[in-house]
Parts: sequence; structure tokens; C-alpha cells
Amino acid sequence: MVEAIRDFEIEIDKDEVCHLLGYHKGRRPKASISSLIDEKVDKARDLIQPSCFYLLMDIKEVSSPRVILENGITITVTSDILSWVLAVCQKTAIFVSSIGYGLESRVTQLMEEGEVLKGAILDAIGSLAAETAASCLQDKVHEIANSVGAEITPRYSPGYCDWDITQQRVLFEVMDSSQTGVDLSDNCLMTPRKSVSGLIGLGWGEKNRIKLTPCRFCTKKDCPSRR
Amino acid sequence: MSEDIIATLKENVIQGRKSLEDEGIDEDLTGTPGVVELTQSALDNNIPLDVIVTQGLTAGMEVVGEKFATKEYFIPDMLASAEAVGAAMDILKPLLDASNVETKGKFAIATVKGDIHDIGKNIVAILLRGAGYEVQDLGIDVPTEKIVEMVREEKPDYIGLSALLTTTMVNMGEVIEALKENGLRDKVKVLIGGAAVSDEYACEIGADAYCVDGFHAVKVLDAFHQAKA
Repeated sequence: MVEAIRDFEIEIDKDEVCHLLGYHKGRRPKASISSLIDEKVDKARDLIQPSCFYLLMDIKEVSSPRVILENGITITVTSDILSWVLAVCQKTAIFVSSIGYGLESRVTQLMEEGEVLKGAILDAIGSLAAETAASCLQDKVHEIANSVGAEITPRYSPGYCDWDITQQRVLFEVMDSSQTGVDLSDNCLMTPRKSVSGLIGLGWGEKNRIKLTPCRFCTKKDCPSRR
Repeated sequence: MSEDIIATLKENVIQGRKSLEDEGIDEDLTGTPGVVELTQSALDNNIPLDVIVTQGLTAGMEVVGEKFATKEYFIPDMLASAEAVGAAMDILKPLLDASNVETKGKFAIATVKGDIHDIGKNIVAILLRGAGYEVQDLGIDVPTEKIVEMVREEKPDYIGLSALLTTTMVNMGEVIEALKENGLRDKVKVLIGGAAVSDEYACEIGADAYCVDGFHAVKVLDAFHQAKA
């Protein structure tokens, strides 16, 4: 059964917003930009409507690159690391999370008004909020796993770690759009745009392998999502 | 007097101050004239349009580009400057249209069919506008036929295609093929950009250039523009 998490607060970390806007390695925005970021973080609170949905499923078989779940649902994992990690997991949580349409509508409005700076800042806040909503979902799955003595993997999304983006179609076969409010286009583009879909593995053995951060094996050193 | 106005205009572009209400990037200049007021002042003092654009606005954006390249400026700083130039161009456009001052060329930009990402596209558009190009934004999820029709009717010198995903970047190639089929490929330079594309992909689909970001797009277009002149 698909479980829902709604009506939770998203805390926006200004340092993370600055990072998304390109301020790396201790660099800070100058005063006028810093005030604008504060103002937009404040306004974003009313525009973010977070929600998360997840479905816990048994992993029946992992035969790289295919991962077969209960009910015969097959996920093709083109990432060697992910299939290697899932091989020691017994369950997976397939999830979709989103912050809704409110913030992206406001970004579009700002852009149309020529307020590109404000729009870009708000968009970065939206990206961070979408990831934070997914982290809340991850915390929930972690709580469930801990209660039964299991560990969880980091979350994986199609389009990252060599996992083909078209595999989102499989996830969306499981997660009903009418329930989640998140749609997938023919080109595998989610709407609302600030949404995250993916899976988290749960397992009882080889905890170091389960908790492995895959990025250390990845050659894409400039990836903005590098963990 | 004229030189002072243009120098102050350029400095205010660098400071990203659209109007007198704005603070400025390096120091608080609130209450002193910003780019909009200074542009109007330049017009009131009969400073030629090409001087306002090239020595004030575009020259200011060139400094902003240098500061961005050396990591003194970041994306928000350059957007503040580009927005200020955009506001000045709103004032100047009717006058430029009515004059014989030539722009550096007409640039159309679109997020290709199936893709709705527009932040990167909007940043490129505003930077090219700030660099003195006439920019027409066709929007997001733009059908190939609409782009071809636009090239046929409006005759832009350059077209920029944006896509974020591997599933939608293929439509950039479709646009180039459609331009060929309609005998328009040699009429327009095609630039591509977006997270999923690369120099290699530009070569593969026959685009004229891949641009990594907005300032790179300015450099690429300036090189094409100089080669033409």
C-alpha cells in the first residue's frame, strides 16, 4: 500500500541555497544579494507544499542489471554500483516526493516580469526544498528500517548514477499519479518540476555495503549532486 | 559631462543597480542614480545611442563577465547586472529600432519540444541581451515546426536550443534536420546548451557550437559576429 506523508515543515538552509547559486568553498554573497536570498527564503515558506509517497516492496531477485520486485515488477539498473548494493537488500522503498506547483508558478511569474535574479534565487530554493522533502521521506524509511534492525541505502533516482532516466516509467507504474499529484511526461519529465522520484534499499546484512556512497566510484567529478 | 555619465553608467552596470532604490554589489549606493536613471540622463544629454550601448552597458557587462570568470562575481551578481542592462534596453529599444544603429545580430532561443526547463535559457537570454544582441525568447516546449517557421519568417542570425534531459536533447538534432530539409540550415547558426549536452553532442548533431553557460554564449556569438564583420 502506498503511504503518504503530508503537512510537514521544510526548513531551508540558506548556506545550501548559496551553494546551489554557485557560492562554493566558503564564498559568501555580498550584502544586497544576501538580503534578497533571506527575503526569498522567507517568502518561499508560503509557496512550498511538500508531500511524499512511498511503497515498500520485497526484492525477489537481483540479476544485474535487472532487479525483480514483488508482483513481477522489474527495474533495470544500468548502474553496476546500484545493482551491487541492491543485491544485499531485501526490500526497497519506491518513492515520489514533491513541493507542489506554488513555488514554480511564482518563479514563472517573476521570469515573465523580467525579475530573473529573484526568479533564479527562488528556483534554487525550490530545488533545495524538493531535495529536503525527499530527505524527510528518507528519514521516515530509515526509521522504519531501524525499527526492524535493518539499514538503508542512500536514495537513488533515475537519471543519476548511470541509472537511465527512462526507468522512471517503472516507478510511475507503481506510484499512481492521481494519488501523488506528480505526473510523468513521455520524455520522463516530472510535473511539478520540483519533484524527486527514486528508490531506497533496505537490508539486514553487509551494512557497510548497503550504506555505501556510490559517488566515490563515479568518474563524473563535477556532478552537482555528488555526495 | 557625457564621459562622466557613461563612466557612471558602466560602473552601475557592474554594481548591478537597476534604479536608485538598489543598494549595489560592493557598497551601498542607495539613493544615487542607477542604470535606468543614468540611461535617461544620457539620452537627455544627447549622448549617441551607440555610445550608451557599447561604452556604457555592454562595456559594463564585459567587466561583469571577467569578474564572473575569476569567481569574484557569482550567478546572482551577474543576473543583477544583466537585469539592470535589460531595463536600460527597454528604454532604448524604441529609439534603436527607429535609428540606423545596428545591433550585433538577432538571436532566438527556445527550450526544445518535450522539455519545460527554462532557468538556464532565461539566464542566457538576459546575458545576450546585455551584450547587445536582439533576443527573441520563443519559450519552453517549443515544437520543431515553430522554430523552423520562426527562422523562415524572422531570419534570426543565431538560434539557441536548450534541453536538460537526455530524453529531450534528441529534439535538438530534430530541429537541425528540419532546418536542413527546409533549406534553412545555412541561414542561421545553431548553438546548443543544457546539462545533458556537450561539445561532442554538438558535433554529432551538426550544431555550430555548444555553450557551457551564458557568458560562454556571449563569447561564441561575439566570435561569430566578428567573423562576419
